[in-house]
Formats: sequence, C-alpha cells, structure tokens
Amino acid sequence: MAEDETVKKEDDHDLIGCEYEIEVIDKDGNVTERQKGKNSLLIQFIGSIISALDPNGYNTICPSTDVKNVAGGAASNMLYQYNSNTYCGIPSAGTFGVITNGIVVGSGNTPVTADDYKLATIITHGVGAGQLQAQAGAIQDVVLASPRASFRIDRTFINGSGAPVTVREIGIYSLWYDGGVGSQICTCRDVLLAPVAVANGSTLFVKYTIYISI
Amino acid sequence: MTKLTGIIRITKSTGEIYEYPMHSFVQNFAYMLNGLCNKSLPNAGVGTPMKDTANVSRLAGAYNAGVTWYNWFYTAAAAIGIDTYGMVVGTGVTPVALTDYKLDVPIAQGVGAGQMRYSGASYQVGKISSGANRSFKLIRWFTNDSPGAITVNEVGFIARPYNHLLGQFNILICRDVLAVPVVVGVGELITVEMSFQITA
Repeated sequence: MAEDETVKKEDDHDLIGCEYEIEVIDKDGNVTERQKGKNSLLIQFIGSIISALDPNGYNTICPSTDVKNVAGGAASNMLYQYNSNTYCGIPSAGTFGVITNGIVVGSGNTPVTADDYKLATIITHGVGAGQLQAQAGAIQDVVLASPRASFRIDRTFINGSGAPVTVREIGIYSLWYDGGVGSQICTCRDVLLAPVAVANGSTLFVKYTIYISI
Repeated sequence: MTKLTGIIRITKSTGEIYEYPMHSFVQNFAYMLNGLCNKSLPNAGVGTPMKDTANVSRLAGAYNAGVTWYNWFYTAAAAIGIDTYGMVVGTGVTPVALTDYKLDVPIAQGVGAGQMRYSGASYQVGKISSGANRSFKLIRWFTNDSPGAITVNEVGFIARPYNHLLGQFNILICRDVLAVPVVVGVGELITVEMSFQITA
C-alpha cells in the first residue's frame, strides 16, 4: 500500500479569523462611507498564541528573528504577558492620543505580508496637516453566536486638521514586554479595498472582530 | 491573508496514520483571547468567566509567581499519568459545541477496562520555524494496556491558566470529534500530534 493511502484526511479549517469594518461619519452623524474586509493577522499575533503553549514560560520561544517590534528591532523574547500588574497579555485597546497602542491608521498602501511589523506610513495624532485625533479605543466583551465566538476591538479618529485626510491602511499595535524592555508589536495590518478620505470634521470608526469558529 | 490552521495526526503503532483538520477552539479560548488583548489581570479575569472541566466559572490568565512566569493559557508539561490537563483523548461522539468545557467521555489514565496510559507531553518548543509556512507541534502518546480494544473518537487540549489568588485551573480550549474513529488494540500505542500551521 502506498504511504499516502494510509492517511485519512479532511480539508483544513481556519482556527482563528478576523474581519474589519470602517465607517466615516460626518459632523452631522451620518455614515458617508463603509468598508468591510477580511483581516490579515500577522505573525506577531499568531506567535503570541503559540507562545502560550510553551510550558517553560516566556523565554524559550519565538526568539528574535520571528517577532519584531514596530521599530523593526528584534524582540529578544516573545510575549511575557504580565509584569507586576503593568503588562498582562498584549494590551490592544489604546488610549487617547497614543498611537503606539491600539488600532492605528495610515496612509501607506504597500501590500500586506505576514511578516509586516508596522504600518507602512502611520498617521500621527494631532490637528496638524495630515493628522487625525486618536480617541481611546475599546475591547468589547465576547459574543457567542454559534458557530462563532467573537469580540470586537474598536477606535475612532477625528479629523480636526482643517483638510481631508486619506486613510489607506489600518492595523493593531499591541504592547508586549520581555522582562527588560516594553515595546509594541503590530498584530494586524490591512490595506483598504479603496482609499478613504476623511473630511475635516468627520470621524473614522474602525472596528476589528476577532473570532474562533467551530 | 495569514491563516492559522491545525492538524490532528494520529499514528498507530501498527503504522496506520489518521489526519484531521482541527475545527474547534471553544468559547473558553475566545475569552482567553479577549483577556489577552484587554490587559486583564489574572484575578480580574477575562470578561465573562471561563468554565473549568468541572463546569465551574473561573477567572484566570497569565501570572508572575516570583521567578516563574505562567503564560496566558499556560499548559504545563503534563507528566506521565496526568489525564486532567494537556492533550487528552476520549470515546465520546457528541458533536462539538462552542460551550464545551470538557471531553464528552474522557478516557482515564490506567490499565483497567476502557483506560489508557498517558505519557508525558512533548512540546516542539524553540521558535516558530521560519519561511512562508511556519508550524508548531504538541505531542503525546497513549498506550492501551487495558483488557480490550478502545475506540478513540475525540481529542482535546486542556490549558492551565492562573489565578494569582486561587492557583491554576484546568480549562478546555479545544475539542475535536474525529471523522474516522481510531480503534486502538490491546498493547497498541498511538502518537497524537497537534500541529499548528501559519500560512502566509
């Protein structure tokens, strides 16, 4: 009997998925544009899951070459996920004005690769030309709707720059800690199906939904 | 798009090989992911509590116990004879539900009727392999030294997240019912591998 005849197989199934939705809301509260897409989880996100299976703790998995922080530097150790109540997990909500954590947006359109470690061209926080005001993000509770269990990460960005700002990419930056250095890793990145122009005074609402499916 | 897929591969000592795609992270795993992203402290929990294998609500996550760090669903290396965590097998055939918190009919450690001997667990630790397709593997061996054949129908994995006030809990994070049952004869051994594959 040939070797492959002894192997009984089925088709593959995605264990974890992620989707995004963005809305542009004008100053009167009307949704003027909406886009949905399937997200590209990056090596950093999946690595953080796999690292948890390591029975020996934080420092024996995902050495430097596998995970990079957003500065492109090597992450000396993979996620360490708890530090005297300061770091636990890969905090991904983001606080007001901070674009090193949480959902981030950018103007770059370089195609996504699994090894991306940052947005191509991040849009900074502020009211100057080309800037958006990053609001505090949120991580919603888990929703059970068989076959899915999911939760949403969301954040809004307000354009107070005085001119339209074009968004072409979105992503999530998460905090991590290796015991000596705190930094950020890019866990998701997507290039939008079409660029989105956020008018002055409008709000961009970005929503990521992470799910498992049986 | 980057994908995470899983394969359960069972190799019998007789040479027969079975492969099944993993389908089933259960709701406990979604709560853990939520807590991971939400900076939840172990004692503060992960949103709605998970259910341990006794169907008791638990709040748990990662924890630093002095020099020992527990990952956010720290699995521990299950030792020989441990059937309460790590990779586990069962005979149940009830379809998987999101709310599963234990195997349908777990096979207990032992040599009595319907029991199997659980080896220590092995983890392919180190790094995620490089290149476009990266993988990571968990392995455990099960031997049938009982008086009769045993049919393995389900495979699961039980993690051990930590609550710094209460200790570790056994939390089922995935369960799969095998499309083709694996009959393990007396004296036979099966090698069960869970391989997680990242496809760029």
